[in-house]
Amino acid sequence: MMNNPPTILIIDDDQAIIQNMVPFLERTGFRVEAAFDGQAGLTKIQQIQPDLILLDVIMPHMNGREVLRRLRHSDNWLPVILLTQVGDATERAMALEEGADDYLNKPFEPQELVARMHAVLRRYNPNKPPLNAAQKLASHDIILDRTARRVLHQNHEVNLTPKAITLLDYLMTHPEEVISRERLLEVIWGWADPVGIRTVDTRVAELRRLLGDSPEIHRYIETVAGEGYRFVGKVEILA
Amino acid sequence: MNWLPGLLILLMLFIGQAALIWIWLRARYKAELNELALTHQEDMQRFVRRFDHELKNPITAIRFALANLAGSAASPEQQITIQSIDEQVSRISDLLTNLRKLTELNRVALETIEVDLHALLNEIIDLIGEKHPDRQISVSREFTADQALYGDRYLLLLVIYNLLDNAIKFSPKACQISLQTRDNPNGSLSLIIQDNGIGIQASEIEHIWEELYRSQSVQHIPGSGLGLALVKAIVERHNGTATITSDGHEGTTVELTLPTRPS
Repeated sequence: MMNNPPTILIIDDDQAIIQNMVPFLERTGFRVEAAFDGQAGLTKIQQIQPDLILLDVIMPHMNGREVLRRLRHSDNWLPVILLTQVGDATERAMALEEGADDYLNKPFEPQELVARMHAVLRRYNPNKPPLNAAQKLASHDIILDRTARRVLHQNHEVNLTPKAITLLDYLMTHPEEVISRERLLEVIWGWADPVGIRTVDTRVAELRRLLGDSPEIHRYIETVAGEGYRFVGKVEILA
Repeated sequence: MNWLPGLLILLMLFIGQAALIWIWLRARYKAELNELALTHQEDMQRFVRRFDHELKNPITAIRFALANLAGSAASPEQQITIQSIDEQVSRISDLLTNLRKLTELNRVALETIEVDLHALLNEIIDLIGEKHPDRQISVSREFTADQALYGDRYLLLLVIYNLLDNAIKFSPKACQISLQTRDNPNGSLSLIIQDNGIGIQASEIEHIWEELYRSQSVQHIPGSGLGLALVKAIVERHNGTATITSDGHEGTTVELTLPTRPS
Protein backbone atom coordinates (compact mmCIF):
# COMPACT_ATOMS: atom_id res chain seq x y z
CA MET A 1 0.00 0.00 0.00
CA MET A 2 1.37 3.40 -0.99
CA ASN A 3 1.22 6.07 1.75
CA ASN A 4 2.69 8.81 -0.38
CA PRO A 5 0.91 10.00 -3.48
CA PRO A 6 1.76 7.75 -6.40
CA THR A 7 4.50 9.06 -8.69
CA ILE A 8 3.51 9.22 -12.33
CA LEU A 9 5.98 9.52 -15.17
CA ILE A 10 4.59 10.95 -18.43
CA ILE A 11 6.68 10.17 -21.50
CA ASP A 12 5.38 12.23 -24.42
CA ASP A 13 7.12 14.45 -26.97
CA ASP A 14 4.21 16.91 -27.10
CA GLN A 15 5.05 19.90 -24.90
CA ALA A 16 1.48 21.20 -24.80
CA ILE A 17 0.19 17.88 -23.49
CA ILE A 18 2.81 17.75 -20.76
CA GLN A 19 2.26 21.41 -19.80
CA ASN A 20 -1.44 20.80 -19.31
CA MET A 21 -1.49 17.22 -18.07
CA VAL A 22 1.03 17.76 -15.26
CA PRO A 23 -0.94 20.37 -13.27
CA PHE A 24 -4.17 18.44 -13.81
CA LEU A 25 -2.74 15.21 -12.45
CA GLU A 26 -1.03 17.03 -9.57
CA ARG A 27 -4.37 18.57 -8.60
CA THR A 28 -5.89 15.11 -8.72
CA GLY A 29 -3.40 13.93 -6.12
CA PHE A 30 -0.42 12.50 -7.97
CA ARG A 31 3.23 13.43 -8.01
CA VAL A 32 4.17 13.92 -11.64
CA GLU A 33 7.42 13.86 -13.58
CA ALA A 34 7.84 14.13 -17.34
CA ALA A 35 10.21 13.05 -20.09
CA PHE A 36 10.06 14.16 -23.71
CA ASP A 37 11.37 11.14 -25.56
CA GLY A 38 11.80 7.41 -25.15
CA GLN A 39 15.46 7.39 -24.19
CA ALA A 40 15.00 10.18 -21.63
CA GLY A 41 12.01 8.24 -20.34
CA LEU A 42 14.05 5.09 -19.77
CA THR A 43 16.68 7.10 -17.91
CA LYS A 44 14.04 8.75 -15.73
CA ILE A 45 12.47 5.39 -14.90
CA GLN A 46 15.83 4.26 -13.51
CA GLN A 47 16.19 7.46 -11.52
CA ILE A 48 12.78 7.87 -9.94
CA GLN A 49 11.14 4.41 -10.08
CA PRO A 50 7.65 5.75 -10.76
CA ASP A 51 4.50 3.95 -9.68
CA LEU A 52 2.91 4.31 -13.11
CA ILE A 53 4.06 5.32 -16.56
CA LEU A 54 1.90 7.15 -19.12
CA LEU A 55 3.60 6.42 -22.41
CA ASP A 56 2.98 7.97 -25.80
CA VAL A 57 3.80 5.74 -28.73
CA ILE A 58 4.63 7.96 -31.68
CA MET A 59 7.80 9.76 -30.60
CA PRO A 60 11.00 10.55 -32.48
CA HIS A 61 14.17 8.47 -32.08
CA MET A 62 12.63 5.82 -29.85
CA ASN A 63 8.91 5.16 -29.95
CA GLY A 64 6.83 4.11 -26.98
CA ARG A 65 6.55 0.47 -27.99
CA GLU A 66 10.32 0.18 -28.05
CA VAL A 67 10.44 1.72 -24.58
CA LEU A 68 7.87 -0.83 -23.43
CA ARG A 69 9.75 -3.73 -25.02
CA ARG A 70 13.00 -2.71 -23.33
CA LEU A 71 11.29 -2.36 -19.99
CA ARG A 72 9.65 -5.77 -20.17
CA HIS A 73 12.76 -7.40 -21.60
CA SER A 74 14.62 -6.23 -18.51
CA ASP A 75 11.90 -7.79 -16.37
CA ASN A 76 10.59 -4.40 -15.28
CA TRP A 77 6.84 -4.74 -14.79
CA LEU A 78 6.01 -1.20 -13.70
CA PRO A 79 2.48 -0.41 -14.81
CA VAL A 80 2.28 1.26 -18.21
CA ILE A 81 -0.70 2.88 -19.89
CA LEU A 82 -0.20 3.63 -23.58
CA LEU A 83 -1.61 7.02 -24.60
CA THR A 84 -2.10 6.97 -28.28
CA GLN A 85 -4.32 6.13 -31.16
CA VAL A 86 -3.91 2.40 -31.28
CA GLY A 87 -5.22 1.56 -34.71
CA ASP A 88 -6.89 -1.65 -35.70
CA ALA A 89 -7.75 -4.68 -33.60
CA THR A 90 -4.41 -6.33 -34.36
CA GLU A 91 -2.44 -3.34 -33.16
CA ARG A 92 -4.55 -3.15 -30.01
CA ALA A 93 -3.97 -6.80 -29.24
CA MET A 94 -0.24 -6.41 -29.91
CA ALA A 95 0.05 -3.39 -27.64
CA LEU A 96 -1.38 -5.37 -24.76
CA GLU A 97 0.56 -8.52 -25.56
CA GLU A 98 3.77 -6.50 -25.50
CA GLY A 99 3.06 -5.81 -21.87
CA ALA A 100 1.09 -2.58 -21.64
CA ASP A 101 -1.38 -2.70 -18.80
CA ASP A 102 -3.92 -0.68 -20.70
CA TYR A 103 -4.26 1.91 -23.43
CA LEU A 104 -6.27 5.04 -24.04
CA ASN A 105 -6.89 6.49 -27.46
CA LYS A 106 -6.14 10.17 -27.82
CA PRO A 107 -7.97 12.43 -27.47
CA PHE A 108 -9.47 11.21 -24.21
CA GLU A 109 -11.31 12.83 -21.32
CA PRO A 110 -9.01 13.75 -18.42
CA GLN A 111 -11.36 12.05 -15.95
CA GLU A 112 -11.22 8.87 -17.97
CA LEU A 113 -7.44 8.88 -17.73
CA VAL A 114 -7.59 9.27 -13.96
CA ALA A 115 -10.12 6.43 -13.65
CA ARG A 116 -7.91 4.19 -15.76
CA MET A 117 -4.82 5.10 -13.74
CA HIS A 118 -6.54 4.22 -10.47
CA ALA A 119 -7.73 0.91 -11.92
CA VAL A 120 -4.23 0.00 -13.12
CA LEU A 121 -2.65 0.99 -9.80
CA ARG A 122 -5.19 -1.13 -7.91
CA ARG A 123 -4.36 -4.16 -10.07
CA TYR A 124 -0.59 -3.75 -9.83
CA ASN A 125 1.35 -6.41 -8.00
CA PRO A 126 5.09 -5.69 -7.94
CA ASN A 127 5.83 -9.37 -7.49
CA LYS A 128 4.02 -10.56 -10.56
CA PRO A 129 3.95 -9.62 -14.24
CA PRO A 130 0.60 -8.25 -15.44
CA LEU A 131 -2.03 -10.60 -16.81
CA ASN A 132 -1.65 -8.79 -20.13
CA ALA A 133 1.81 -10.21 -20.56
CA ALA A 134 0.64 -13.81 -20.20
CA GLN A 135 0.20 -16.23 -23.06
CA LYS A 136 -2.34 -18.41 -21.24
CA LEU A 137 -4.79 -17.49 -18.53
CA ALA A 138 -7.06 -19.62 -16.42
CA SER A 139 -10.07 -18.83 -14.31
CA HIS A 140 -12.85 -21.09 -13.05
CA ASP A 141 -13.00 -23.79 -15.73
CA ILE A 142 -11.91 -21.51 -18.55
CA ILE A 143 -8.50 -21.53 -20.19
CA LEU A 144 -7.75 -18.68 -22.57
CA ASP A 145 -4.81 -19.18 -24.92
CA ARG A 146 -4.14 -15.59 -25.90
CA THR A 147 -1.49 -16.40 -28.47
CA ALA A 148 -3.44 -19.07 -30.31
CA ARG A 149 -6.72 -17.17 -29.71
CA ARG A 150 -8.48 -20.26 -28.41
CA VAL A 151 -10.75 -20.83 -25.45
CA LEU A 152 -11.28 -24.06 -23.53
CA HIS A 153 -14.26 -24.49 -21.26
CA GLN A 154 -14.21 -27.61 -19.08
CA ASN A 155 -11.43 -28.85 -21.37
CA HIS A 156 -13.56 -28.56 -24.49
CA GLU A 157 -12.79 -25.96 -27.11
CA VAL A 158 -15.45 -23.26 -27.40
CA ASN A 159 -16.09 -21.90 -30.85
CA LEU A 160 -15.85 -18.14 -30.32
CA THR A 161 -15.60 -15.45 -32.98
CA PRO A 162 -12.48 -13.27 -32.96
CA LYS A 163 -14.40 -10.38 -31.43
CA ALA A 164 -15.86 -12.60 -28.71
CA ILE A 165 -12.32 -13.74 -27.86
CA THR A 166 -11.17 -10.12 -27.76
CA LEU A 167 -14.02 -9.34 -25.37
CA LEU A 168 -13.25 -12.30 -23.10
CA ASP A 169 -9.53 -11.51 -23.22
CA TYR A 170 -10.08 -7.96 -22.06
CA LEU A 171 -12.45 -8.98 -19.26
CA MET A 172 -10.11 -11.72 -18.03
CA THR A 173 -7.07 -9.45 -18.05
CA HIS A 174 -9.02 -6.93 -15.95
CA PRO A 175 -10.62 -9.24 -13.36
CA GLU A 176 -12.90 -7.78 -10.70
CA GLU A 177 -12.80 -4.43 -12.48
CA VAL A 178 -15.98 -2.82 -13.75
CA ILE A 179 -15.54 -2.13 -17.45
CA SER A 180 -18.03 0.22 -19.08
CA ARG A 181 -19.90 -0.79 -22.23
CA GLU A 182 -18.30 2.13 -24.06
CA ARG A 183 -14.86 0.84 -23.18
CA LEU A 184 -15.72 -2.69 -24.28
CA LEU A 185 -17.07 -1.38 -27.57
CA GLU A 186 -13.84 0.51 -28.08
CA VAL A 187 -11.81 -2.60 -27.30
CA ILE A 188 -13.77 -4.70 -29.76
CA TRP A 189 -14.24 -2.19 -32.55
CA GLY A 190 -11.73 0.62 -31.96
CA TRP A 191 -14.39 3.24 -31.39
CA ALA A 192 -17.19 3.91 -28.95
CA ASP A 193 -20.56 5.35 -29.85
CA PRO A 194 -23.95 5.24 -28.14
CA VAL A 195 -25.47 3.23 -30.99
CA GLY A 196 -23.22 0.27 -30.46
CA ILE A 197 -23.66 -0.05 -26.70
CA ARG A 198 -26.40 -2.64 -26.99
CA THR A 199 -24.14 -4.63 -29.27
CA VAL A 200 -21.90 -5.13 -26.25
CA ASP A 201 -24.85 -6.50 -24.28
CA THR A 202 -25.63 -8.91 -27.12
CA ARG A 203 -22.03 -10.09 -27.25
CA VAL A 204 -21.82 -10.59 -23.50
CA ALA A 205 -25.07 -12.55 -23.55
CA GLU A 206 -23.69 -14.72 -26.34
CA LEU A 207 -20.42 -15.25 -24.47
CA ARG A 208 -22.29 -16.28 -21.34
CA ARG A 209 -24.37 -18.74 -23.32
CA LEU A 210 -21.32 -20.30 -24.98
CA LEU A 211 -19.60 -20.62 -21.61
CA GLY A 212 -22.59 -22.47 -20.26
CA ASP A 213 -24.01 -19.76 -18.03
CA SER A 214 -27.71 -19.83 -17.31
CA PRO A 215 -29.79 -16.66 -17.76
CA GLU A 216 -30.24 -16.45 -13.98
CA ILE A 217 -26.75 -17.27 -12.74
CA HIS A 218 -23.73 -15.54 -14.19
CA ARG A 219 -20.64 -17.31 -12.96
CA TYR A 220 -18.07 -15.56 -15.08
CA ILE A 221 -19.28 -12.13 -16.16
CA GLU A 222 -21.33 -10.06 -13.81
CA THR A 223 -23.55 -7.17 -14.84
CA VAL A 224 -23.01 -4.03 -12.76
CA ALA A 225 -26.23 -2.11 -13.25
CA GLY A 226 -25.74 1.28 -14.83
CA GLU A 227 -21.98 0.79 -15.12
CA GLY A 228 -20.93 -2.15 -17.21
CA TYR A 229 -19.54 -5.63 -16.74
CA ARG A 230 -17.04 -7.31 -14.49
CA PHE A 231 -15.19 -10.60 -14.81
CA VAL A 232 -15.73 -12.42 -11.55
CA GLY A 233 -13.04 -14.44 -9.86
CA LYS A 234 -9.33 -14.90 -9.73
CA VAL A 235 -7.41 -15.13 -12.98
CA GLU A 236 -4.08 -16.94 -13.00
CA ILE A 237 -1.23 -17.03 -15.43
CA LEU A 238 -0.67 -20.50 -16.83
CA ALA A 239 2.10 -19.59 -19.27
CA MET B 1 -19.05 -17.87 -105.89
CA ASN B 2 -16.73 -20.51 -104.45
CA TRP B 3 -14.84 -17.68 -102.75
CA LEU B 4 -17.94 -16.97 -100.58
CA PRO B 5 -17.41 -19.61 -97.88
CA GLY B 6 -13.78 -18.51 -97.53
CA LEU B 7 -14.86 -14.92 -97.18
CA LEU B 8 -17.47 -15.84 -94.60
CA ILE B 9 -14.90 -17.76 -92.57
CA LEU B 10 -12.51 -14.83 -92.71
CA LEU B 11 -15.29 -12.49 -91.64
CA MET B 12 -16.22 -14.73 -88.71
CA LEU B 13 -12.59 -14.97 -87.65
CA PHE B 14 -12.30 -11.21 -87.82
CA ILE B 15 -15.45 -10.67 -85.74
CA GLY B 16 -14.31 -13.29 -83.26
CA GLN B 17 -10.94 -11.59 -82.82
CA ALA B 18 -12.55 -8.17 -82.52
CA ALA B 19 -14.85 -9.55 -79.81
CA LEU B 20 -11.89 -11.02 -77.93
CA ILE B 21 -9.99 -7.74 -78.14
CA TRP B 22 -13.09 -5.89 -76.91
CA ILE B 23 -13.48 -8.23 -73.91
CA TRP B 24 -9.79 -7.88 -73.07
CA LEU B 25 -9.94 -4.07 -73.28
CA ARG B 26 -13.02 -3.96 -71.03
CA ALA B 27 -11.37 -6.20 -68.47
CA ARG B 28 -8.26 -4.05 -68.58
CA TYR B 29 -10.33 -0.88 -68.19
CA LYS B 30 -12.20 -2.35 -65.20
CA ALA B 31 -8.95 -3.51 -63.62
CA GLU B 32 -7.48 -0.05 -64.01
CA LEU B 33 -10.59 1.55 -62.55
CA ASN B 34 -10.41 -0.85 -59.59
CA GLU B 35 -6.76 -0.05 -59.13
CA LEU B 36 -7.50 3.66 -59.21
CA ALA B 37 -10.29 3.18 -56.67
CA LEU B 38 -7.95 1.15 -54.45
CA THR B 39 -5.22 3.76 -54.74
CA HIS B 40 -7.72 6.47 -53.87
CA GLN B 41 -8.85 4.44 -50.87
CA GLU B 42 -5.28 3.92 -49.68
CA ASP B 43 -4.50 7.60 -50.20
CA MET B 44 -7.61 8.47 -48.23
CA GLN B 45 -6.65 6.16 -45.38
CA ARG B 46 -3.14 7.57 -45.29
CA PHE B 47 -4.52 11.11 -45.24
CA VAL B 48 -6.96 10.31 -42.45
CA ARG B 49 -4.23 8.68 -40.35
CA ARG B 50 -1.97 11.68 -40.72
CA PHE B 51 -4.84 14.10 -40.12
CA ASP B 52 -5.86 12.14 -37.05
CA HIS B 53 -2.28 12.02 -35.76
CA GLU B 54 -1.82 15.78 -36.15
CA LEU B 55 -5.09 16.67 -34.48
CA LYS B 56 -5.22 14.26 -31.58
CA ASN B 57 -2.39 15.83 -29.61
CA PRO B 58 -3.66 19.43 -29.72
CA ILE B 59 -7.16 18.25 -28.80
CA THR B 60 -5.78 16.26 -25.87
CA ALA B 61 -3.83 19.29 -24.68
CA ILE B 62 -6.91 21.53 -24.99
CA ARG B 63 -8.99 19.07 -22.97
CA PHE B 64 -6.51 19.14 -20.12
CA ALA B 65 -6.20 22.91 -20.33
CA LEU B 66 -9.99 23.20 -20.05
CA ALA B 67 -10.04 20.77 -17.14
CA ASN B 68 -7.41 22.94 -15.41
CA LEU B 69 -9.46 26.08 -16.03
CA ALA B 70 -12.66 24.45 -14.83
CA GLY B 71 -10.90 23.35 -11.66
CA SER B 72 -9.54 26.81 -10.95
CA ALA B 73 -11.57 29.66 -9.44
CA ALA B 74 -13.32 30.50 -12.68
CA SER B 75 -16.22 32.94 -12.59
CA PRO B 76 -19.67 31.73 -13.73
CA GLU B 77 -19.20 33.55 -17.06
CA GLN B 78 -15.83 31.88 -17.53
CA GLN B 79 -17.39 28.52 -16.71
CA ILE B 80 -19.91 29.10 -19.51
CA THR B 81 -17.08 29.91 -21.92
CA ILE B 82 -15.16 26.83 -20.80
CA GLN B 83 -18.27 24.73 -21.34
CA SER B 84 -18.74 26.18 -24.82
CA ILE B 85 -15.13 25.47 -25.80
CA ASP B 86 -15.42 21.97 -24.39
CA GLU B 87 -18.48 21.31 -26.55
CA GLN B 88 -16.64 22.38 -29.68
CA VAL B 89 -13.66 20.23 -28.75
CA SER B 90 -16.07 17.30 -28.39
CA ARG B 91 -17.41 18.02 -31.88
CA ILE B 92 -13.93 17.87 -33.33
CA SER B 93 -13.20 14.74 -31.34
CA ASP B 94 -16.38 13.09 -32.67
CA LEU B 95 -15.35 14.04 -36.19
CA LEU B 96 -12.00 12.33 -35.63
CA THR B 97 -13.77 9.26 -34.26
CA ASN B 98 -15.96 9.09 -37.37
CA LEU B 99 -12.96 9.49 -39.64
CA ARG B 100 -11.26 6.66 -37.82
CA LYS B 101 -14.37 4.54 -38.23
CA LEU B 102 -14.21 5.12 -41.97
CA THR B 103 -10.62 3.97 -42.25
CA GLU B 104 -11.17 1.03 -39.92
CA LEU B 105 -14.20 -0.09 -41.90
CA ASN B 106 -12.07 -0.75 -44.91
CA ARG B 107 -9.87 -3.23 -43.10
CA VAL B 108 -11.82 -4.53 -40.12
CA ALA B 109 -12.77 -8.21 -40.24
CA LEU B 110 -16.51 -8.70 -40.62
CA GLU B 111 -18.36 -11.26 -38.53
CA THR B 112 -21.09 -12.27 -40.90
CA ILE B 113 -24.17 -14.07 -39.66
CA GLU B 114 -27.83 -14.30 -40.53
CA VAL B 115 -29.45 -11.18 -39.11
CA ASP B 116 -33.15 -11.07 -38.31
CA LEU B 117 -34.28 -7.91 -40.07
CA HIS B 118 -37.34 -7.32 -37.92
CA ALA B 119 -35.42 -7.65 -34.66
CA LEU B 120 -32.72 -5.35 -36.03
CA LEU B 121 -35.25 -2.73 -37.06
CA ASN B 122 -37.00 -2.93 -33.68
CA GLU B 123 -33.70 -2.25 -31.94
CA ILE B 124 -32.89 0.64 -34.25
CA ILE B 125 -36.31 2.24 -33.87
CA ASP B 126 -35.89 2.04 -30.08
CA LEU B 127 -32.49 3.72 -30.31
CA ILE B 128 -33.84 6.41 -32.63
CA GLY B 129 -36.72 7.07 -30.27
CA GLU B 130 -34.26 7.49 -27.38
CA LYS B 131 -32.15 9.91 -29.38
CA HIS B 132 -35.12 12.03 -30.49
CA PRO B 133 -37.53 11.97 -27.55
CA ASP B 134 -39.18 15.27 -28.56
CA ARG B 135 -40.00 14.29 -32.11
CA GLN B 136 -43.18 12.72 -33.43
CA ILE B 137 -41.85 9.83 -35.45
CA SER B 138 -44.13 7.51 -37.35
CA VAL B 139 -42.54 4.46 -38.94
CA SER B 140 -44.65 2.29 -41.22
CA ARG B 141 -43.42 -1.12 -42.30
CA GLU B 142 -44.50 -3.05 -45.31
CA PHE B 143 -42.72 -6.33 -45.53
CA THR B 144 -43.14 -9.98 -44.82
CA ALA B 145 -42.04 -11.68 -41.65
CA ASP B 146 -38.89 -13.80 -41.24
CA GLN B 147 -36.76 -11.75 -43.56
CA ALA B 148 -33.07 -11.83 -42.90
CA LEU B 149 -29.92 -10.19 -44.08
CA TYR B 150 -26.49 -11.75 -44.10
CA GLY B 151 -23.76 -9.58 -42.67
CA ASP B 152 -22.10 -8.07 -39.64
CA ARG B 153 -24.98 -7.24 -37.32
CA TYR B 154 -23.39 -4.22 -35.68
CA LEU B 155 -22.36 -2.66 -38.98
CA LEU B 156 -25.78 -3.29 -40.51
CA LEU B 157 -27.26 -1.63 -37.45
CA LEU B 158 -25.00 1.38 -38.01
CA VAL B 159 -26.10 1.64 -41.65
CA ILE B 160 -29.82 1.61 -41.02
CA TYR B 161 -29.50 3.71 -37.88
CA ASN B 162 -27.60 6.41 -39.76
CA LEU B 163 -30.18 6.48 -42.54
CA LEU B 164 -33.14 6.69 -40.17
CA ASP B 165 -31.35 9.32 -38.11
CA ASN B 166 -30.80 11.38 -41.26
CA ALA B 167 -34.44 10.96 -42.25
CA ILE B 168 -35.49 12.41 -38.90
CA LYS B 169 -32.87 15.17 -38.83
CA PHE B 170 -33.92 16.48 -42.23
CA SER B 171 -37.67 16.08 -41.76
CA PRO B 172 -40.34 18.26 -40.17
CA LYS B 173 -41.21 17.79 -36.51
CA ALA B 174 -43.84 15.21 -37.43
CA CYS B 175 -41.63 12.80 -39.29
CA GLN B 176 -43.01 9.98 -41.39
CA ILE B 177 -40.79 7.16 -42.48
CA SER B 178 -41.84 4.20 -44.52
CA LEU B 179 -39.85 0.96 -44.66
CA GLN B 180 -40.39 -1.54 -47.44
CA THR B 181 -38.48 -4.55 -48.63
CA ARG B 182 -38.15 -6.29 -51.95
CA ASP B 183 -36.74 -9.73 -52.64
CA ASN B 184 -34.50 -9.58 -55.69
CA PRO B 185 -34.07 -12.36 -58.27
CA ASN B 186 -30.36 -12.69 -57.44
CA GLY B 187 -31.20 -13.54 -53.83
CA SER B 188 -30.39 -10.14 -52.33
CA LEU B 189 -32.87 -8.06 -50.40
CA SER B 190 -33.58 -4.39 -50.90
CA LEU B 191 -34.64 -2.23 -47.97
CA ILE B 192 -36.32 0.98 -49.11
CA ILE B 193 -36.42 3.86 -46.66
CA GLN B 194 -38.63 6.79 -47.59
CA ASP B 195 -39.13 9.98 -45.60
CA ASN B 196 -41.14 13.21 -45.86
CA GLY B 197 -38.12 15.43 -45.33
CA ILE B 198 -36.66 18.39 -47.17
CA GLY B 199 -35.35 16.32 -50.05
CA ILE B 200 -32.05 16.64 -51.91
CA GLN B 201 -31.45 18.76 -55.00
CA ALA B 202 -30.62 16.84 -58.15
CA SER B 203 -27.30 18.68 -58.48
CA GLU B 204 -26.22 17.38 -55.09
CA ILE B 205 -27.20 13.73 -55.34
CA GLU B 206 -23.91 12.71 -56.97
CA HIS B 207 -21.94 14.25 -54.10
CA ILE B 208 -24.06 13.01 -51.26
CA TRP B 209 -21.92 9.96 -50.56
CA GLU B 210 -18.65 11.91 -50.43
CA GLU B 211 -16.77 12.27 -47.14
CA LEU B 212 -17.50 15.55 -45.33
CA TYR B 213 -19.95 16.71 -48.01
CA ARG B 214 -22.90 18.67 -46.62
CA SER B 215 -25.58 20.33 -48.65
CA GLN B 216 -25.86 24.11 -48.35
CA SER B 217 -29.48 23.75 -47.31
CA VAL B 218 -28.61 21.77 -44.16
CA GLN B 219 -25.61 23.70 -42.89
CA HIS B 220 -27.73 24.87 -39.94
CA ILE B 221 -28.45 21.30 -38.87
CA PRO B 222 -25.68 19.62 -36.81
CA GLY B 223 -23.85 16.86 -38.58
CA SER B 224 -20.37 15.70 -39.51
CA GLY B 225 -20.85 15.01 -43.20
CA LEU B 226 -19.57 11.48 -42.65
CA GLY B 227 -22.75 9.53 -41.97
CA LEU B 228 -23.49 8.64 -45.57
CA ALA B 229 -19.84 7.94 -46.33
CA LEU B 230 -19.94 5.43 -43.46
CA VAL B 231 -23.13 3.91 -44.85
CA LYS B 232 -21.55 3.55 -48.28
CA ALA B 233 -18.36 2.01 -46.87
CA ILE B 234 -20.29 -0.57 -44.85
CA VAL B 235 -22.65 -1.44 -47.70
CA GLU B 236 -19.70 -1.90 -50.06
CA ARG B 237 -17.94 -4.13 -47.54
CA HIS B 238 -21.04 -6.31 -47.72
CA ASN B 239 -20.92 -6.27 -51.53
CA GLY B 240 -24.19 -4.37 -51.52
CA THR B 241 -25.38 -1.15 -53.08
CA ALA B 242 -27.02 2.03 -51.83
CA THR B 243 -28.84 4.57 -53.96
CA ILE B 244 -30.60 7.80 -53.13
CA THR B 245 -33.38 9.46 -55.07
CA SER B 246 -35.23 12.63 -54.33
CA ASP B 247 -37.38 15.09 -56.22
CA GLY B 248 -35.54 17.91 -54.46
CA HIS B 249 -38.60 19.32 -52.71
CA GLU B 250 -40.09 16.79 -50.42
CA GLY B 251 -38.88 13.44 -49.38
CA THR B 252 -35.89 11.25 -50.00
CA THR B 253 -35.79 7.57 -50.80
CA VAL B 254 -32.80 5.43 -49.97
CA GLU B 255 -32.62 1.92 -51.36
CA LEU B 256 -30.15 -0.50 -49.77
CA THR B 257 -29.50 -3.79 -51.46
CA LEU B 258 -27.76 -6.30 -49.25
CA PRO B 259 -27.03 -10.03 -49.32
CA THR B 260 -29.26 -12.56 -47.62
CA ARG B 261 -26.77 -15.42 -47.80
CA PRO B 262 -23.02 -15.94 -47.95
CA SER B 263 -21.47 -15.16 -51.33
